[in-house]
Amino acid sequence: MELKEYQTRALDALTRWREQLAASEKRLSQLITRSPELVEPGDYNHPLRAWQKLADNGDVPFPNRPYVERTDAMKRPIPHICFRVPTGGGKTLLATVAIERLNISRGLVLWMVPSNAIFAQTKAALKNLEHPYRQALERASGGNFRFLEKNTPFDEPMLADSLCVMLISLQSANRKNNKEFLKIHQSSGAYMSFFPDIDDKDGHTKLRGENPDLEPHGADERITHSLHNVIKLKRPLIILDEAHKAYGQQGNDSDEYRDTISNMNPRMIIELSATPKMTRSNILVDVPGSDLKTEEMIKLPIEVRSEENVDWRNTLDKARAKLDELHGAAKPLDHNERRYIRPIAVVRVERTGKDQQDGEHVHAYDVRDHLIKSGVPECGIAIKSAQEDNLGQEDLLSRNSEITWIITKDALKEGWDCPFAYVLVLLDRTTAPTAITQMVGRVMRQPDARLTGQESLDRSYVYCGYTDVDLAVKRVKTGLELEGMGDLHQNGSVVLGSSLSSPVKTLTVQRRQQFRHVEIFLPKVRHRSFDGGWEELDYRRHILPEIDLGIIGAPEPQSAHANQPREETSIVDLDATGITEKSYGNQPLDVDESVNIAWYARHISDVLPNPFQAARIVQDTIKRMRNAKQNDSEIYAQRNPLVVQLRSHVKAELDKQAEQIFLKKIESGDIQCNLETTDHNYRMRPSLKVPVPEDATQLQHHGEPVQLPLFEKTYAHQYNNDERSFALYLDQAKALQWWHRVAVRQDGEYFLRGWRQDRIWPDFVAVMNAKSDKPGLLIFETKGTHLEGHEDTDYKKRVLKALQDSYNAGTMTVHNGPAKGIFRLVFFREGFPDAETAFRELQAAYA
Amino acid sequence: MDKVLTGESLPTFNDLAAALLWTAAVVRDEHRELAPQNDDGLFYQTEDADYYMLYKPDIEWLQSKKANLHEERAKRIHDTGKKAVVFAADKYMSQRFLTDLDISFCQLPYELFIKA
Repeated sequence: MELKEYQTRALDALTRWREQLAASEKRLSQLITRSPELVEPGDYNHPLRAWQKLADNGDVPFPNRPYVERTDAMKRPIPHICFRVPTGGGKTLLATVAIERLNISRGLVLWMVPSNAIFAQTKAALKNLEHPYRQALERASGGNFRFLEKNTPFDEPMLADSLCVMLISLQSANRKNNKEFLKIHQSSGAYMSFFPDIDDKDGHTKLRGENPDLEPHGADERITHSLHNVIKLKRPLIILDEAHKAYGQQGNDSDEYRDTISNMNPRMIIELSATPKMTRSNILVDVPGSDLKTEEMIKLPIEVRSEENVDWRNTLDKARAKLDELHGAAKPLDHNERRYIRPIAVVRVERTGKDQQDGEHVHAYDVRDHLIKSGVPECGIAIKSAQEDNLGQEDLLSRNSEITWIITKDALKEGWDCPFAYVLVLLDRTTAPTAITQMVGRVMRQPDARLTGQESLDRSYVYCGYTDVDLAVKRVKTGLELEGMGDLHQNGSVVLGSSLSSPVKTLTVQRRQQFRHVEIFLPKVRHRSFDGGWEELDYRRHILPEIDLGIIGAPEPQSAHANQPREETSIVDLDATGITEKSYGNQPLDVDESVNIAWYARHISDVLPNPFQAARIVQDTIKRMRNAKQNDSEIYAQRNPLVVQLRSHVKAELDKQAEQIFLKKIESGDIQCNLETTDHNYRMRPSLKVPVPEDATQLQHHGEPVQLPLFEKTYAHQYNNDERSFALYLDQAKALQWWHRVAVRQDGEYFLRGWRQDRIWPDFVAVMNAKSDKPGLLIFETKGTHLEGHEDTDYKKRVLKALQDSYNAGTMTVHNGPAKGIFRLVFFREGFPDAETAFRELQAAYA
Repeated sequence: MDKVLTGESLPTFNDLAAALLWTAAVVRDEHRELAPQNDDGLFYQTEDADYYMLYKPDIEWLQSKKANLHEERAKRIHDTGKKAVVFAADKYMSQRFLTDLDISFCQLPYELFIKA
């Protein structure tokens, strides 16, 4: 499964964190060795130091939030970060690839999940050889992956030789649930290999001396041979799924969960959550709902149709009419594109019990009977309740399935979100508003994560019979927030409320009067297609095939920090590039240290997908090391730093070539960024749909609304402080016709492309008055000064320069001749000198 | 796996195709020689799908661009009007692009390795 752009960004952030963490630990280690008298207590907190460095570089989403510190049972600081990813955003995939990216290829990983339903889903995925999660772990381990549960026997050699992921429920780890909890604390012969022999009193004394937090076996000196003690000794990476459920809420219970996890002595914790609490988690990656929208993973907008005091049959009939309409739209899609979608409605009722049909409450059987009377075939209706499960193991995505209606109360499992589910119907009188919030996420996943191009099939629908429409809309928004997509209803018109009886308007902002009836075009970055036409530049199709992988050789040798399997140190747990392995057992490890080319090739497959080329570069690297008299054991000890070196070397080489190819193609005219007379330009929309909070105010300057935005109203809450300053600066530029703030990653918004895969979303676009009929274009990407010199900043700066140089270079344009354009990176500095220069350059070009 | 990746021991087209066909389509046809039937590597057809493989037991060829699925070939395969499964070392497009062309891509040699 290919990673989405935001997933790649998230993993890059993880890599930066890992590197800072390693650097911070290395500094501490060197300080302790060289000048122990200079070590201050705060120096031991290397995760905090690393985080501060990232915050200073602007590499965390909330740099002004304090770092949340945690320590383990031995009072060592625990590095812990959180991926904030909306529901349906592929956070589990992200976690599996994160293991790979952290170069964890052996040892124990503890994967903790909050519920039985998620346990079952995760287990099924990790055990399925073809599932992307499993495949990521196979890659991470070079084919030596083992799935464990808490009762699965495992031993020291297995951990030394394989990547062992143990799936465990939070309940098992929490003292409140005595039965499950006790199991992991019980002594068992299965864990003998991790401890000294039972009669080895000195061994036990030594082990307790080194690890006083281990649980003793009764009153004697021996250590309990329990899973809990094994975990404490092996110090696993902990993946904490739905972290907010473990300790997101305030209160003693959640403190207990947090402490329980900390006391397992994790070497690192990666949390996954749609709604983490800032007071508990260090959010390294914040994926907004708009990223999911951009990647076409969710069906938006959500049409909410609701009215108070309507008979439930009326609501159901309206929903059925909508579902029929959706089936009508899906048929040609199947016929013409062989894309099969069978829209499904999920109905929530008040009663499902076989003896609860009382004529007063809306019962599943009432709904079923009404649907059958309306012409829905009985085989198309499934009741899902505690007593009755017509769904069973039905594959709803299969053509063989006939189900189009699912009736339930609350038996749909947590995490159930079938992409074919389009319509949510709430028929319960008392809890409908709450149910909207809880269930709206179930109908939002886009089939195949790909828009259909048919508006009705790219939306989701909520029908509610007993709630005022405003309340229903509010509840949908709360639901979006709970799914981690709160940004969506802030930035776009994603919730369209209307009464069941009469439609209600949505807020639309038109362009200002003088621009209302003119076409406004912006240049797209395009590539000549192989049939002679033009299409949007695509890194994989237009840049990658030109790259000559054959000239990428082995990286220069470096003195990688050795990483011995038996190494033991009290502080450094993470070397410069990966996680060290430790063994406290008395059995010598039998580790296969022979060079495994495939293992390396897999570890760099994200940057160099051709495995045969990857193998060649790895082979050359290993050959060079052997020529330098390094044996297999020494090479094995350096495998993690080597992977990092290989990856960054290959990435840099690819990037170097990609830039040259991009520039060369601009020069040859195969890549263009012009305003063409053909229909390949970006066409500015005539209006925007903007959701506006009740207390919102328009962006103002000296008490008056701003004058020059392209659209007649722009609201202050849509800008942060820096953006607001820049917008006001542009608004005072008298030479401008208009300016427009690009709403980042909104569907249909304007973007550019460079020589990398990611799109570039400029922050502002403006058009300058010109003496001729060829107005000058200004495209601004804005950055804080702290990001000056940052790798990503430099990349964008170079791309913008290249695009500016190529803009309208001598071709026929919509303006009947070349117009001028400035593409500029602007730092937020007093007076915006970068923008000032841009204005002067553009004016000079027209002089 | 190392021997395949480094070219030390590469299976024949027939052996690799047979193994992949078994894992991908649960089809075993021991009496039939599987060989490329056209320049695009078509080696097997069922009612539902066509199976293609870009492969030669030659490490230099596998490291070259010829071993990768490129756009022109993908469009040609799409033009046959049938669903297709393509086995190759790499591809010059996203899976989404291929999905639009009704093509499933499976990477060599990992496809064999993961499902083994």
